[in-house]
Amino acid sequence: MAPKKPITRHVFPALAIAGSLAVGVVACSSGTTTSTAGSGSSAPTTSAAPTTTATAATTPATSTGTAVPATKVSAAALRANLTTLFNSHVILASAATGAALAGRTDDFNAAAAELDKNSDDITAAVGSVYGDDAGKAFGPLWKKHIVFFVDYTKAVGAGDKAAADKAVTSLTNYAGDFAAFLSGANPNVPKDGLTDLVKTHVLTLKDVVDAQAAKDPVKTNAALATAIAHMHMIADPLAAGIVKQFPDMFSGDPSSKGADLQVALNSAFQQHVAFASIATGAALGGRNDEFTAAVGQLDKNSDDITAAVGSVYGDDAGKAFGPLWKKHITFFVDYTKAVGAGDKATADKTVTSLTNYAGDFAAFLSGANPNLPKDGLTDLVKTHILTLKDVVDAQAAKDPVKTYAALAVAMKHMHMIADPLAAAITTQFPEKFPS
Amino acid sequence: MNTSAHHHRRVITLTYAALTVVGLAAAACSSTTPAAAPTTTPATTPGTAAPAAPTPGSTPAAAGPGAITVKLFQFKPSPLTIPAGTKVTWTSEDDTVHEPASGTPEAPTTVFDVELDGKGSSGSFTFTTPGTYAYYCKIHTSMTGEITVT
Repeated sequence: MAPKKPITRHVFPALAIAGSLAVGVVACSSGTTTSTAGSGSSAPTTSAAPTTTATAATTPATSTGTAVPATKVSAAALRANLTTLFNSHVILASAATGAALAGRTDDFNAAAAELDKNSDDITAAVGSVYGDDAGKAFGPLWKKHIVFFVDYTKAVGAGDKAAADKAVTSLTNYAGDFAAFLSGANPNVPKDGLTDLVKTHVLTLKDVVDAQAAKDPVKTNAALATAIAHMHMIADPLAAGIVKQFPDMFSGDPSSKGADLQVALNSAFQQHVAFASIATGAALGGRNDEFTAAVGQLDKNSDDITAAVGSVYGDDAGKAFGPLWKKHITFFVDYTKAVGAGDKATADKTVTSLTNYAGDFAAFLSGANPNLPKDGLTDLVKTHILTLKDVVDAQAAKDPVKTYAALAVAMKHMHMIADPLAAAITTQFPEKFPS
Repeated sequence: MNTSAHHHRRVITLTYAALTVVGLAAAACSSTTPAAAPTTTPATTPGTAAPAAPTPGSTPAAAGPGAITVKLFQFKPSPLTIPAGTKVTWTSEDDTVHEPASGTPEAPTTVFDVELDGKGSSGSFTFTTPGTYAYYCKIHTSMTGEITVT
């Protein structure tokens, strides 16, 4: 399957990096966000994939008649955004299956609808690389495995082992079909390897559903963390294969240490939002075991992030960062409890604490890294707080449609902190992160 | 731990573990902005320890035995050992407010309470009574330090 159109700067709209800190971050405009150095007030990226913009954005021909490619997309950003798209797939799928098994129909419908939007984002990404026809073929193929998972979940919930086994067989066969599609589109993506990776994705998500069916929230959250962590193993070779297939369209090395850092930070921050929202939703829903389990997983995620900071800036800095990072989670728990109790005064006070926290967090990171202007980072952290607050407010209002829409926004926003942070660190330590 | 999660955790930690630990150099104390006047409170420790008068902050704090840098939400050096009569000066390099104060968050004392209102600010206290003084930041209570006066 030959690519229909050259990749343009509008490819992968989810790649739009609107981080607005004074670091050498490659910006890929989606037309929905702007990026100015030091503005620090960028809005979260939207999920819409304007496929109509996936046209050849070549600059006027040179005097030799050769078209000059549009601005290149960062290969690291491609890899990071594929990872976060796939992570969102897992997070929203598990939200849907958990709601289904718990009999929360409205929750299930809302999570499934948001999962559908995520599928559309992924489909648009494929279409913008390989053409509309390929996108139209990919979309139903991608969504089919979600249908198989719904079938599996229903079967498990009903105790129907035969149907469950049949769904697993369908999913296993699907892995081969999915790999055949992508390896057919890209000779740099070996079918067998990709088949195995997709099978692992299927099995790790199956573990989540099984734990949900067993009503074991600790296992559920651990399995979810595993399933999320696995997705970069599909995103990585896909990104590498696409960059190799279209070398003129991408800048940088998708496998560089800087790219590793960008992917790791994006994934860790996205999981922070996911597990925080699981915890707050459980708290507001009165599901104490689920709350405790989600907080436990959130704690592990915090330890991962702290270890990352410590490995860059030293153990002492890590030890200082850890409690600082965890403090804002405490504030969010306080906010959730206050909202749940209808205690506006405490809720407002907690929001103030969170706003002040944004400055402290920014002060820490900008103190560690001169490439991170404090004001810009403060604004980005405030937006993180506000987007997560929207999730909590929607949960408290028992509005699942708003909840999952807000969750999608909150998750997407995290790249606006992760990307400039990664870029600032690679700029600060060029010997450790050679481009 | 599942292989995938373990691999992911390894990706994060190995990405950084290959880096040398970047210790932060303790910056020379300097104060380019007027220091916030430390809160002076009566000493409650046994003996005659008296809180220091507020330092004007216009004179850069010299790096000496009583110099403590507050950077990246840490007090350095800690623990610090000084002879009685030493004036300890905290100088902040963090672009936020800190407030080193005696005691612990669970058991604060009133020996000293120093307000630092941002990057470059400093505040001091003279320790005259031997003993070991735990302290913490009243705003960021996870920040702790210790001073031993001989």
